[in-house]
Amino acid sequence: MNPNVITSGGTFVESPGVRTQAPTALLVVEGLTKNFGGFRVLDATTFSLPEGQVTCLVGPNGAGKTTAFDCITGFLKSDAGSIRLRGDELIGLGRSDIVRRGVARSFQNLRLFEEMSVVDNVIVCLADETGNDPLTAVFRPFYSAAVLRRKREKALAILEQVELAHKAEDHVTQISFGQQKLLCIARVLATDAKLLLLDEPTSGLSATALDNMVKVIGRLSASGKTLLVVEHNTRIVRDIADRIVFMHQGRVLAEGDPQTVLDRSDLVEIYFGGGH
Amino acid sequence: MALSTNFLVGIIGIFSVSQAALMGVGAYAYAGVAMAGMPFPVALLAAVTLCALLNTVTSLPALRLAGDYFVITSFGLQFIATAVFVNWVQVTGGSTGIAAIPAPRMLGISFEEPQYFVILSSLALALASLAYTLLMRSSYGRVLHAVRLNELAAGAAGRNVLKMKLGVSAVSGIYAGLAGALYAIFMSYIDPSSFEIQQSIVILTMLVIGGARTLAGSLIGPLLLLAIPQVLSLVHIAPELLGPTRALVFGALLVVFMLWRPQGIAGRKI
Repeated sequence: MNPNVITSGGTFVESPGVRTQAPTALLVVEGLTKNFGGFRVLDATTFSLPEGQVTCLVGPNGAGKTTAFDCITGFLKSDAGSIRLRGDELIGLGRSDIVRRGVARSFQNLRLFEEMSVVDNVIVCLADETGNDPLTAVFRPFYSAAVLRRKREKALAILEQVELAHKAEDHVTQISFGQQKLLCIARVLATDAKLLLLDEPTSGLSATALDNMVKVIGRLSASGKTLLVVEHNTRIVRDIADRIVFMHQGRVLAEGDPQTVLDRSDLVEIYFGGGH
Repeated sequence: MALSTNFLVGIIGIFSVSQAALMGVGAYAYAGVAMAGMPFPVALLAAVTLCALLNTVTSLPALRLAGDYFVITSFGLQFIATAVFVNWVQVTGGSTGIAAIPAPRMLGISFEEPQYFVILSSLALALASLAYTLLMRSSYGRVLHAVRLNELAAGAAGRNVLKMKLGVSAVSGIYAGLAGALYAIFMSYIDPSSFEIQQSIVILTMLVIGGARTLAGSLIGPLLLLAIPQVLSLVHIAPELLGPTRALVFGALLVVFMLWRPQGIAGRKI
C-alpha cells in the first residue's frame, strides 16, 4: 500500500508503474480551524482517514490533536472548515447524532461511569437503544427484562473481544488501570461505530498492559474498523499505524506511512526538540 | 413527593428546590377539575399531565446551567409559583385557598373516609414504588445513572442527554402531580401556605435523610420526618414555638446528614 495516494473519493491514482484503487477515505477533515480566545489551536487542519486503516495522530503537546478529536466528535464547535463522513457533513450535528452516524471516541482521562459495574458500563453504550425509554420499562416489564438480558449478552461478547469478560461483574474501581483502558475500548466498540477515535489508549500502561492494548488495537484493525489514534510513543506508532498524520501548532505538517514520516529529521526535531 | 424529588435530584442530578410548588400545581389542577364536576380519573390525569409538562419545561434551564446555578433558578420558580397561587384568585382562591375539594367515589365508596383514603393512598404508593423499581432495573434506568455520573461520556456513547433529562423531568412531574392530587383529596382544602419554599426544603430533607437513588430511602425519609412533629407533640413546648422548633430540627438534620452521611440512611451519595 502506498499511503500517499489516498484520495477522499477513493479514485484511481497512479503509483510508480502500478494502477491501483486507493482506499476510500471514510472521513475527510478540510480547513478545520478552532480559536480559543486569540489563540489558534487548529489552523486550517486538513487530513483524511482511509477506511479500514489505523491512522495515528502524532505531534508535540499543544499540537491540537485532542482539539481535533473534540471537533470531529461534536464536543467543540469549530470556527471554520468541514468534517465529512462518507461525504456527509458532521459539523452542526450533536454528539449523539455523530455517534449514530458512526464516529465514537474514547477519552484521555477515561470518563468511566464509576459507580457502575464493568458490564453495565458497556450496556449503557450499546448502539441498540431498544428499551431506553420509561414507557417500555414500566408498561412492558417482561419485554424490558428480555431486552436487558439481550443487551447483557451483547456487552459480554464485546468484553470478550477485549479480554475483560471475566471482570464483567466487578465494579470499575476494582479493576486495574490497564483493564480500565480496555473497558474504554469496549465502550467505544459498543456504539457499533465504523470510525473509532482513541485518545492516548496506551498512556500510563505497564509493559504487559501495553502489549495487550497493542494486540487489541491490531484485532480491531483486522476486523475492519477504521481507527484514529492519538499516540506519543513512536515505537507503538510504528507497530500499530498504517498511516501517520503529523500535527504541529494546529497544522498538519505531514501525512504518510510511519517509516517515511517518523524518519524525517525536521519532524523529529519538532517532536523531540533539540538534542535528538 | 420524595420519589418525585428522587428522580430529579438523585437519579438525574437536577437539584431543584421547587418541588412543593410542583406538587401545588398538581393539587390545584386536581381541585379545579374535580370541582368542575369531572370524574376522578380525569382530574387525576389533568394533575399529572400538567405537572409532567410544567416540570419538563421548568427543567430546561438545567440543561444549560451548572448545578449550583439551577438551584438559584429553581428558587425563583418556587417564588413565582407561590406568587401565582396567592394572586391568581379566580383559579386558586388566592390566600383563602380552595375548600370542599370533592373526594373520589367509586363502587359506592367515598374515599373521604380515612379508612378508604388509606387504601387509595397505599395503592398509589404501591404502584408508584413498582414503577420506580421497574424503571431503575431496566436499561433505561442504567442510562439515567450513566447520564448523572458523566454527562460527557454518556453523550460520547450516543445517548441523547437532553432527551433523557426531559424524560426524567416528565416522570418526576407525574409523581408530583399524583402527590398533589392525593394531598388535595386528603385535606379537602388547599392554600398557598402548603406549597411554599419551606415545604420544598422539607421534601429535600426527606430525600437527604432517607437516602437518594433508592426506593427504601424515598420511603424512610418521609416516615422519619413525618414522625418528628408527632415526637415534638410529646414534649412540652409552647404552641407558638412548635413551628420554629420543627424547622430547627429539620434544618439540623439536613446539615448533620450532609456532613456525616451524605448518602442518607438507605441511599447513595447525591
